[in-house]
Amino acid sequence: MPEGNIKEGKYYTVIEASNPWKPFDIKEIMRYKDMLYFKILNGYKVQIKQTVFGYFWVFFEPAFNIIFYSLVFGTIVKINTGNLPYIIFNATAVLGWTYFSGCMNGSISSLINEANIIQKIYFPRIFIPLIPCIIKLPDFILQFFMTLVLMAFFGFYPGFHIFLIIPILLIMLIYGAGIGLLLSTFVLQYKDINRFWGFFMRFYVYAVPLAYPLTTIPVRYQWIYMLNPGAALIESFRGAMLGTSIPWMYLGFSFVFSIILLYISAVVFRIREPNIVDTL
Amino acid sequence: MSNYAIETFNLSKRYRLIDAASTSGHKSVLDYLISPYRRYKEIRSLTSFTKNDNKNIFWALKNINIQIEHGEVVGLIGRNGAGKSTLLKILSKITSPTTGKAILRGRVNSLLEVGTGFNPELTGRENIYMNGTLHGMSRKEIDKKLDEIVDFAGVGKFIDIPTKRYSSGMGVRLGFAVAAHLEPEILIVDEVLAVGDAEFQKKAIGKMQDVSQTEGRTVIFVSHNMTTITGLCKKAILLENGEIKTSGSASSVISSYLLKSRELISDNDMSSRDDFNGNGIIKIGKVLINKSSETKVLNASDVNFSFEILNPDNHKGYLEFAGNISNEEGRTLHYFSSKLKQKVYYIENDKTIINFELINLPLQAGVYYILLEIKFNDEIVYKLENALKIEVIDNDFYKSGTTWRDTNDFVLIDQKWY
Repeated sequence: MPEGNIKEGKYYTVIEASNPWKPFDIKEIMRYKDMLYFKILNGYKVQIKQTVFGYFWVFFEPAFNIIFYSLVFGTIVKINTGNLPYIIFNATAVLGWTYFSGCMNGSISSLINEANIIQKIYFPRIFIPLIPCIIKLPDFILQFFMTLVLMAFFGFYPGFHIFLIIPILLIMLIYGAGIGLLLSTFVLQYKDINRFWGFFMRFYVYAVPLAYPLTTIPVRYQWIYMLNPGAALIESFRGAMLGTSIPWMYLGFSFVFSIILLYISAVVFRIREPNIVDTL
Repeated sequence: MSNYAIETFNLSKRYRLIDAASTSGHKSVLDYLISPYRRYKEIRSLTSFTKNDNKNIFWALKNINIQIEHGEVVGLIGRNGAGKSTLLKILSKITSPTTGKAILRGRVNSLLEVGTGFNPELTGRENIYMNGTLHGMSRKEIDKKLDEIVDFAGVGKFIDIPTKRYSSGMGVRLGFAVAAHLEPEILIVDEVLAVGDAEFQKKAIGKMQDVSQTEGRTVIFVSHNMTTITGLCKKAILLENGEIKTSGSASSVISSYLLKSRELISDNDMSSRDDFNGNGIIKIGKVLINKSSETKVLNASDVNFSFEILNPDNHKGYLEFAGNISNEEGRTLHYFSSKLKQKVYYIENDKTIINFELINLPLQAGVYYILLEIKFNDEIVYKLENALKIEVIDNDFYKSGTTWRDTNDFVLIDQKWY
């Protein structure tokens, strides 16, 4: 048996267990880059096919959320947001949250959604949970301009600090993809997780400073609260949009946390990858 | 070091067969309450195996060792559940082996389904790019071959229309056209040639011939059609219950497979056969030939078959009946179908009798095998190979008073000489 001297060359395939500790194979990514391009492009096109409102749907989700929060928390509960109008306070966070939650939701159910393809053709599976995080980016850009218009209407104009949303988005992408890589293989096997995730997200939205300001949390508990990367990311995101303070330390922590999460999740994904088709 | 295109070493694949949604076993309230724990253990057992673990274990493949040379075309045959698809899935990296390994030397491409990743909302053009890149083609390669692909598929002006508006035949043609323009060194093909209409099948098989014979690719493919296998392959591998039963020259492997499969023919009652293809919602029960269970028939006479159609769940719909007659070598000699005579049956009862007559049977004396197929509401629900074995007795077809026998001749056509 030819053992030992076998290397996987360009067109040389050895089918056996792969090395999970090197989860990302750059060569493979390059070989399938056109597939990724069309997957993302087509995924985007399909969203709007045969819908009356087409791209307008991109605005509806955050718009409905902003109206809901402004009515309930701004008008009825009358949450104190200082000299910032509640709608601006909320809309800037909803913008970040829509992308952040969209990443996680899309990513963890990605394997189930692609089941048909997975069973019939090989391509690097590790791409699948990453794709939803990229597909949501163009939506984000449109929503971003919608938010800018709203801000301008209330007399808020962005400064240079607005460019900080780019690294924050990147951390959100890494974190979202990490959660997706970690959970998507388990969601396939234990379908309960998908149902539980719906409940969890309803809770999670209140574990970040989206409907209420960070100052609502007692000062001595704030550090625990901000260790949640979601909370740090949303607070930083609003800070970048409005030019208010950014919790740098917690943002840094969430960055390191996200990177470690992505790596561990990718290893877990690689370990569980051989079972994907068998547990579908 | 060996230099085979495809080589496997003790490849095995294990599955756990459980019904993860089962609610059976609830005997008391307590059972019901603890059922999540029981289910958790069951679902977990899909991926966790312990030593000497035999509970609901099914070995889809056992110690498969094959060597395929570069440029060889190999047919993979066997009954349903023999492990053919599992082997193809492992070789195309879709699922991984439990133990053992495989080495493939060359650019691999697999075609386990026509048009994988087609989204019905997308246009033909968009789907070509999606499907092509999924198969590992680059955007540039597709740009270059686009016209050829569209031409081969014959979709013409429909190329910018969503594929959900395509007829099923067009969709299949487009999917195959993309696959036909891949340029792998090793091609792994499941039974995809069986789809589409007769004209398309001819085209597809022709393309397969080009790929294998003139372009020198290595091809491994599954087919239930022995004529296709003999036409395309020099070598064949017969799988049975996850193991290699025989391998070698296509003709010898096929004849041993046919022999094996023909042992299943017991009498004229097919209701207990389980080796059919399709979902089997409708089956064939007893068959009477000339109103008796005798399987000897005379040529030059009309032969009546009376098929009992079993429809236990009382499905309602339109039924087409078809089949073919093949000789001992597995070559198809004749295709018959109710559709050819524009006859469609409407069924709703649990039992229906369909009568079929072959007029003036023009077959040489000998043994023949009949395949039967039921199409219900345009879907093949039942296809049974070697459903019947008939023995044709010479009845002086040419009215010459002598018996003519040539081993290479099967079909008799009455003649006139001036």
